[in-house]
Order: sequence, then C-alpha cells, then structure tokens
Amino acid sequence: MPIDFQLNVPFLCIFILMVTAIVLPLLKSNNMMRATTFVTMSVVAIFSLVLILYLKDNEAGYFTYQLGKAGAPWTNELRAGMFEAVMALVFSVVMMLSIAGGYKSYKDDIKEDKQYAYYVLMNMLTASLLALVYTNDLFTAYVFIEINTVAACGIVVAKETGETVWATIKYFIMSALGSGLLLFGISILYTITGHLLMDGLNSSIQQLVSTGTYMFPLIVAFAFIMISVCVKSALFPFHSWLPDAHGSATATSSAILSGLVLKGYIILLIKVIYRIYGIETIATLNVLPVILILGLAAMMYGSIMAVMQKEIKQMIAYSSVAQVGYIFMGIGLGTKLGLDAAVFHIVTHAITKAMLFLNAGTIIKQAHVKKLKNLGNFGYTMPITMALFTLGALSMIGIPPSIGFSSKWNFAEAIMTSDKVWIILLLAISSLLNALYYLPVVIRAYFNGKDAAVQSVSIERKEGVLAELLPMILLGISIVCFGLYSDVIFNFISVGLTHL
Amino acid sequence: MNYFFSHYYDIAAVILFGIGFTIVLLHRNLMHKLVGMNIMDVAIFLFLAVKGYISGRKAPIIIDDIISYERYINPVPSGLVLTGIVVAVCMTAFGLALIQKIYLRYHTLDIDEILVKYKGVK
Repeated sequence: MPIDFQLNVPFLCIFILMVTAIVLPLLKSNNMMRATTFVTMSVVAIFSLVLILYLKDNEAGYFTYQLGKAGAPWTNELRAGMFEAVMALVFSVVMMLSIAGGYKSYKDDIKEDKQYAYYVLMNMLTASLLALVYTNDLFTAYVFIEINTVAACGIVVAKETGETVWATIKYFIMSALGSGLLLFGISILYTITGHLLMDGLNSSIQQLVSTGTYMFPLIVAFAFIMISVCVKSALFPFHSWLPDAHGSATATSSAILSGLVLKGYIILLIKVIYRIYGIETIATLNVLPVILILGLAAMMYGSIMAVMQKEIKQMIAYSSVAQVGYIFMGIGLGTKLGLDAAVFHIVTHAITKAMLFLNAGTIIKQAHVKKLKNLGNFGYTMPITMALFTLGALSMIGIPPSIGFSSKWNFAEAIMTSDKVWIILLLAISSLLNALYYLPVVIRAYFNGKDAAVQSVSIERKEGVLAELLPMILLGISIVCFGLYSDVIFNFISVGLTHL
Repeated sequence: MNYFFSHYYDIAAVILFGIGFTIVLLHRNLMHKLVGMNIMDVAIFLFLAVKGYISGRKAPIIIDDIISYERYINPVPSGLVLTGIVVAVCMTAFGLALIQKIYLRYHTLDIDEILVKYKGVK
C-alpha cells in the first residue's frame, strides 16, 4: 500500500533535528556546524510548508502517525493538522532567523570551543518544540518538556557570566518544580483512566464525567498540569525567572526563549484543554475564569513593570510577560474565536519579539548601550536597526498595517462576541501602556531635541553587517506582510483549530 | 480509616512529594533544593510503581512460556518509571553542573548570600 510521503513529515522533522544534534559535534569547524544547522532548519521549514499544502487539500484536515504496528492504545502517536503545521513552520523559520540574526552577539559571548554545544542545544530545542507541537501522547510530551527545559537553561547559561548563571539557577529551580507537578498530574491521569494517548484519555474522561466518578482527581490533575505550564511559560504570578533569564542571555537565546520556548508549553496546555479534557468538561470544572484572570493580571502587571524598567532588554522581557498574558486571556475566554486569536497572537509574538530582541542585541553589541536613557539619536547612527525596532514597537502596540494590529483586532472581536465585554477596557489600557514604554524609545531615537547639534557633527555609523541585518529585515517584512494578509493565516489557524 | 490503611503506599507517596516540594521551595541551600527535586521525583515513581502492581502477580518477564495476562503485573507504569528515572538523572546532572558553576563564582551555596554578592556585583 503506497503511503503519502507527507504523512511522514512530522516524524521526519523531529528525527532529522535530533540526528543533526547528535552528529554536529563530529564536524570540524564552527562554520560547518552553523551551515549544517541552517540546512537542517531549512529542510524542516520546507517540510512543514509541504505539510501545509498537503493538509490544505486534505478532506479530513488532520492525520495520526503511529510509531510501531501494535495499534492505538499501545503505540506512540504523532498527530498533525493545519494548526500544528503552521506552528512548526513559524517555529523553524523564526529559529533559523534568530540564529542568523544574533550571530555576531553569540560569537563574542560564547567561548570559541564551546560554540558547538550551542548549535547542539539549538537543534535539540527545535526538535523538542516540534515534538511538543506534534505529539499525541501525554508522556512523550513530558519527556520532551524536560529536554526543552534543559536545552533552554543551556542556551541561557551559555554566556557564562555571573548574571546568566544566577538567572539559569532560578529558571532551573522553577522549572524543576513545574516538571515535578506535571509528572504527578500525568501519573494521576494515567491511574484513573489507564491511557496516555490523548484520544483514549479523552473518551475515558468523558465517561468519568458522565458518571460523575473521580471528579476530584480530575481537577487535581488539571490543576497540577496547569500550574506547571504556567510556571514554564512564565504566566503571572510565576514569571519571576523570566526577566532575569531573558534579559541577561545572549541575543539569539533571548529571541528564541521569548518567541518560541514559552509557546511550546502553551500549545501543550491548549491540547490538554481541548483534546484531552474537552472544552465542555473544562467549563464544568470552572477553571477557565482562573486562566482568564491570571492572563488579565499578567497583561497589566507585565506592562506596568515594563514601563518602570531602565534597561532595554529587561523592558522587552517584561513586555513578554504581558504578551503571554494576552495569549492566556484568549484561551481563558473559552470561545473558538478567543482560541483563534490566542494562537494568532502566538505567531505574532514569535515574529515580533524575536525581531525586537535581535535589534536590542545589535544595539548592545554595536554601540555598547544597555540603558534606555542613553539611546538618544540612534535613529541616525543605526538607521536600519532602529527603523526595524520602530516597526516592532508599532506592531507590539497594535498599529496597522503590522501583524500586531491584526492580533489586537482579533482579540477585540473575540471579546466583543463573548459575554465578558468589560475585558475590552483592560485590552485598551494594556495597549496604551505598551505605547507608553515602547514609544519613548522610538522618540528618543529620532527626536532627541538635539537635532541641530547632531546634524552639524558628522554622524558616526554603528550599523551591523548585512548578514546580521538581513534576518531582521526578513522578520520585519514578514511583520508587514502577515499584517496585510492576516486573514489568510487566520483562516489557516481557524480551520486547523476546528480539528484540535 | 480503613481506606487509609489500604492505601498507605499512595499516602506515603503524596507525603514524600510534599516533603520534596517544600524542600525545593523553602530551603536556602542549592544542594538541598536539588535533593528535594530528587525526593519529589522518587515520590512519583513510588506512586506509579504502586499503581502498576497487582498483588500476587509477577514481573512481566516470560521465562516459562506461560503467556497470560493474569499472571503478570501491569508493565506500563514500570516503563514510565524507567523513563522518569532517566529524565531525573539528566536533570540532576545538569543541576549539579549549574551548582558547581555558581560555587566557583560566588564561593557559597546559600541563596541569600549569593543574592547579596550578585546585587553587589551588579
């Protein structure tokens, strides 16, 4: 029986990345490792694109891929639909561009003979993220979450300064707590249902709920899994490790941690809510309001803390806390539109925040400026970087035609069609706060009040090299293009989420 | 009360988990935190192993050609425990490496002292 090649794509993507990670240390030079990493990531991106095109014409909309021949309850499964394929594409492309864009920063930050490990970690990280996206098995998700955690801690500590080691210890301890809770939650679910595959878990849980048995363990298991996901994706009030880790790491690490790593766990939570428990069960357990309120609190807290920051990377890191809040708010609404908006925001934030962190990394590396107040006139000394930073800032605030505007629009639509219309006020306030901390940077860069002085003195150009700017420019172009054609991506995500 | 006596393994596992969790949260020494993490993991392994055990049956290894599920315990939780042990060992090794780095830099393992030195450096 002939099998479509595309059905193997989810497994192949993960497998290629893991094999690359193992083979990389055998290569001779750092440049070769970098090239191999790029080739692997491009292959994964192209495969994901192939998968999207395949699923577009597929009537079922999704397929499951069994590893082994024993059949449903005994084999490990991967499952791919439009949602998973789009996420895989975004993750692999942003990962590739982040490595390319932060090249100069991490080449200086990481010791020459340790750089091979950095590429290994990058490949492992991508593999574990894709596995989290594709997996249909709860225990596999746990194993890959641990791989993800170790790799993420590794890319923070790679810089080996006192700051990053301390940040990593914090990150590691919080993650260890989260992992313990997650494993306990999964064990409880396994003992009351006897399944680890998500489909089996779902039917079993529906049966338990209809008979009303084991309701307390069900709630406890969900609470454990949710707390663990919240810790790992830095939702307020479990965010305390994020600003240190993201603010002190090298630019590529920050971009990837903020843009992608946080999202892997959120995708797992979406799967737990919609695929394992089912949204009706979750509604009867009354946990959606908790997610909603934590998300709203994170939105406000992250924005307010970002206004108070004095260093550019710390500010962007706190902005991430707020953006994670937006995503959880979308999930907490509990409607299809809310979920669509949340997943769309995952894409938005992945692209925009990766670009902002890369910009900040270039500014720090080229001009040795970390403090916000010293950023005056950077619009003239680093025109391209600052223009892109401005674009990213506008996207974060939500000004058309950027992708951030579409994201805010989707959130507003989701809120207005739900029964909690008052949230729109908080959304507006949070957007205003976004403007309050991003715009001063932009204004200081272009209109410092010393224009005359600047124009008289010859301006010293500090712009980075083209190889470093090009990935950022690509991210910038995608911000505008995705903003202009947001309905296409939104449709893909929306269709994909109907098969969740 | 009978319930508690018949489920004493589960209760022991939950208490152990609580002890481990509290150690990770509250102790100021980084090594203690790592040990707490291990206790937490071991508690879950105990929980899983107990759930897979069926009294009077044997380990699922076929030695005398009797293939019948009534003879053996549930092998899946044992497999999960094995995987979990591997993951826990990796996390512990990584944690120890990190703690070594911290010690070489700050010459202490106490979180409060590290924090004082860290703020001083910054």
